[in-house]
Amino acid sequence: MNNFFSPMRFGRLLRAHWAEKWREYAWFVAVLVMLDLIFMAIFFSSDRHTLLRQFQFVGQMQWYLTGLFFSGIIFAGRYFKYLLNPGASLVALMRPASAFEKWLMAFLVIGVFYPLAYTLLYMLLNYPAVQVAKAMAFQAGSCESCNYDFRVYFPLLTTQLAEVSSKDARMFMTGQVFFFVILSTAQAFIASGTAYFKRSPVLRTLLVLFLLFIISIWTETLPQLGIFALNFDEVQTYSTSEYALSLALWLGLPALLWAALYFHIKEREVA
Amino acid sequence: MIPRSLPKLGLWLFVLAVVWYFVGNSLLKQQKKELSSHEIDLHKSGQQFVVGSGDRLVIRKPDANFVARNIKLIFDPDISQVTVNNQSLGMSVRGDAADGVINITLERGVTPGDYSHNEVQILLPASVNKLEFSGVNSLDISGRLPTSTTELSLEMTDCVPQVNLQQLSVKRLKLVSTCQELKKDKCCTGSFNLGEQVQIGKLEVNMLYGSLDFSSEIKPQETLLMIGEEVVITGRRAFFETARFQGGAR
Repeated sequence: MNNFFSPMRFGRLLRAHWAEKWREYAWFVAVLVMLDLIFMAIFFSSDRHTLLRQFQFVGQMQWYLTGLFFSGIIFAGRYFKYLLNPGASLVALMRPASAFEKWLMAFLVIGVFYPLAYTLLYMLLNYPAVQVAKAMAFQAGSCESCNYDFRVYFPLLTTQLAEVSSKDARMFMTGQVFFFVILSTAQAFIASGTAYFKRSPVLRTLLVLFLLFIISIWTETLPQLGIFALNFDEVQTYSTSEYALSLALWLGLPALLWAALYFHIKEREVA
Repeated sequence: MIPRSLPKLGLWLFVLAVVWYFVGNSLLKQQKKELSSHEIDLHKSGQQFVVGSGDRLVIRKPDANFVARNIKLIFDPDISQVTVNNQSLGMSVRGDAADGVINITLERGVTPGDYSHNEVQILLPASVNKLEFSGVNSLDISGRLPTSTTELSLEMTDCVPQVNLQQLSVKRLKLVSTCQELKKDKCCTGSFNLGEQVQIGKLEVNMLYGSLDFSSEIKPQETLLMIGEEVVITGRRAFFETARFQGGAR
């Protein structure tokens, strides 16, 4: 059997993880649903302006991205929570699986399955809510010159903005892609920190983040988005080196942090 | 097993990620600044020139893929020729004069998008009495005109420009828009805005689509509004008391 990766062993690891964690994940989903329903109730009971702002296309997109970002980070921060419990930690670390398989599972669960599950949940709740909001908006009195946009937002697939040129649609897609890159970076950072620190992992990870923030202010380092910069006014042209630098920076950063997580997991096994 | 000689590889990778972030940002920032000072100097030296004289000024921006704002047209009775003074690196200005018509064309500059703090200033002699704009996103008109000046006509030939008048005194002002479509997004419709210090004897507006802002305390002696049904007007009561409406725009 391959010590690095075995599909059979990885499948068993995934099943064992699901059997152990599904209740916790179900609670996580329940909390998200409750929060979403509470906010929806607030939006529906608010004035017409809030209703229109929140449930039109751009409002849906902002709600989806904000929710995914914050819940995704919290989810990543909770993934290695079991390492705080000596018993659970020992069981998990001694599981018959390689460090790579454990890392791959963490990457898939945090970085792929969670965003997919969140998207599914969002669609289930958002679609009917948008239909209700649309009916309410038109029931309240039609406005001939008003330009409502109640199309249902679906991440990465809804590429066409209403009434805009192709350059805006391209920017719109670039912005979404960059969001997922940043989300992955943030998740890898939090997961790495919580896997590395043995005591108060979340607090210490946040402390490191704060220190990095202070360093970036001190060194006057503002994030340079390069080719990912959103500029709806202008069609920007970039040089090949700008493309290469931007891609290396913003794809290399999450890759390095995820790689760091692999070694953190490996080092925890050794320890 | 990880060799004992390579402890904390994860930590070092994390440090590398931090260094990667800071160095990458620095390199990208450097990339932006790489535009040679020679290119900038060349642009600046060619952007201060005298165009010529005439009575009609036409400003065009043929390229729709960049924004032209921060353009100031200033009437100066002491000059006899149209003069361009472009401080913006984001925009490049070309100009020529023929048969009494002064043509100004706005193009992308050496650093497109970098025009927020610098402006394009075009000084106009009192002989100019007709201004036409197309593709320009916003421009401000101000300055002094001799009292003998009787008429000034401003015409937008598409639905884009937002024209702001400040500090100007004319006997007769004509605002014309040939925009032929209703923009759903009202914020971006072509508009004429008249500021507090504008004094007009007779105001004439001919517009099918767009918006007019007369919310300052201007009170022309005579106002004729030939406007379409979709034109949005903002104004004080005193303004409308002297206003006459006449059918649709021609």
